[in-house]
Amino acid sequence: MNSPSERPNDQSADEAKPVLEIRVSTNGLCESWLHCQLIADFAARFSCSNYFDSQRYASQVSSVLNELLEVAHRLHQPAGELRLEVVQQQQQALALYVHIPVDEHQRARYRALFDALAQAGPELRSQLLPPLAAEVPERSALVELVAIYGYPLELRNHPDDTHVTLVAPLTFADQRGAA
Amino acid sequence: MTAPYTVRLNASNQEVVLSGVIRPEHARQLADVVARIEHFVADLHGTVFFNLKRLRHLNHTAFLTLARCLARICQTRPALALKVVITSVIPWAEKRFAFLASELPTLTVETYDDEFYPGQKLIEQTSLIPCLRTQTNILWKSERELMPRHGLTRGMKIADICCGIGDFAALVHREFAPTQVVAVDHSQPFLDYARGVAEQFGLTDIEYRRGDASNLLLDDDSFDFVTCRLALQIFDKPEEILAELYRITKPTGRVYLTNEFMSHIFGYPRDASIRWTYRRSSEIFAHLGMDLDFGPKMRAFLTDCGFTDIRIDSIHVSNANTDADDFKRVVQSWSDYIINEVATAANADEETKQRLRRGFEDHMYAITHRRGFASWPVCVASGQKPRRK
Ligand SMILES: C[S@@+](CC[C@H](N)C(=O)[O-])C[C@H]1O[C@@H](n2cnc3c(N)ncnc32)[C@H](O)[C@@H]1O
Repeated sequence: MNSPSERPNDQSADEAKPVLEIRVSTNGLCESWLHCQLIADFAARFSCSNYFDSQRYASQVSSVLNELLEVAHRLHQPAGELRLEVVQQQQQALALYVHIPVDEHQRARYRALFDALAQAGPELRSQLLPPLAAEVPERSALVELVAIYGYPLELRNHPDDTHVTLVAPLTFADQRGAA
Repeated sequence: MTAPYTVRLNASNQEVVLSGVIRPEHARQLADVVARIEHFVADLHGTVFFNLKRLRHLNHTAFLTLARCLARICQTRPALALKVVITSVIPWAEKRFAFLASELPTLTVETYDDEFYPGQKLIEQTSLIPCLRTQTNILWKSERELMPRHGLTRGMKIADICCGIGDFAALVHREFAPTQVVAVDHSQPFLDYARGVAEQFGLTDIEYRRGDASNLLLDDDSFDFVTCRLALQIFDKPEEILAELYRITKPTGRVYLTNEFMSHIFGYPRDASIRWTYRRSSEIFAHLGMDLDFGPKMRAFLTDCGFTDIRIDSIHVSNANTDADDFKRVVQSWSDYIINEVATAANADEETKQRLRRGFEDHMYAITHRRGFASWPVCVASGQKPRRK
């Protein structure tokens, strides 16, 4: 597990508790579409096992993580290591960090996706159904996570420019706490 | 397409049933599903139901594909009403379909858990907790002895469906050292209580899950022993629950049930008053869609559902074999619950309530009387899921 300080700008780092870290080669991930959900389901099940009604939370974590991994799968180019961290924040909510290796071109693509998300504001929802949206599935997947589910997704640049990090803080609306 | 899912088109109730996991890479992988749905809907009028109660996962690509399909139907068939049926136990469904309902004028969403069966609100109330707790206390002694005859041994994979406040699952865990226990109930307050019980017992490895017994998110053929106690009797369609219990049981595994025979609770002295009260109570439950006389019907239902090697027992709780104070406490909790909640919900008049109360008091009198005799019959039945041919 890496120290929490590696997560830049994370104010709540002091209270964050690592739950799980998974490293996979991006080539391995991208060999099969099925790998996204295998990793998402495993990570979700593992990191929620101590929650009361673990199935419900695992289902939620798996949904979000699977979408993020699918985005990485779709945008994959440079070979390297994808690192996934699940961290328990204060009040027992979980945050997902997906560290993805990028080259300059890739970094620009992620940046463009997130810039578009930030600019669209409240109209985001209306972008989902029109036929055009489906043409960039990675974009519309992120739009859904932000606009429909209300997850405050964030893109962070790694200081040495070799990685970007997708951050998804999850709050469980009807959280009952960890057992 | 990678993960297993099924699509059923049910013409007799105008229903599209999607279940399993749908996470395709490309929308075109669902082209066939979409074509089937559109073809199916083309002949229908009135309301079409999209039943997603057992759809565990739907990735964004699949959701968007489905959403577009629904949008096209709304557009081309403005007179057709679309109703998407989801359950709150699946966290991704509510927000997505609320969004879709806001975009599509003829689409509505129904969260099905509020109305599983007519008496649901009555059963999930916390006022029932003391009653459940004392009942399990009393019954455990007999059930512990009986269950091995119904196939329970140590080291099994067990599911307790409609687990209530979780005390039974905890007792089974302590006594029979199962390799896994999954306990499912739909009531959040009961599950909260269950968690407390597990803590009290120092148990960390019972999986309590919120879920719907008629659409369990558990895999086929996965448990050695499936229990469902004092619960089939509250549903208006017990056969649907039983079919789910059958589904999750491994071939050669067994389903173990208990249910009451309320109208036949008796006591002496003051037997006429006691009999009247329980018969009347049973009728009031029936009025609300529950069958508290389901006990003797279990053999028939197990047979019809395809179980073999059916074994039947009965537990005869009486003041001769049970601590009188415990037994009395159970009857007191029935009295409070039936009069204050159940009879009230059924609009019973004051006179009926008075007479009910008198019968319960008479039963308690019989329990504690030096010469009295009082009983509570509970039927037990189990069946084996046959090996696949
Ligand atoms: C009479 S209680 C019996 C509880 C427990 N088995 C016991 O013996 O103490 C019936 C239970 O069924 C649960 N229940 C009702 N509808 C349900 C559903 N659709 N799915 C799962 N549980 C349900 C209720 O919350 C309640 O805990």
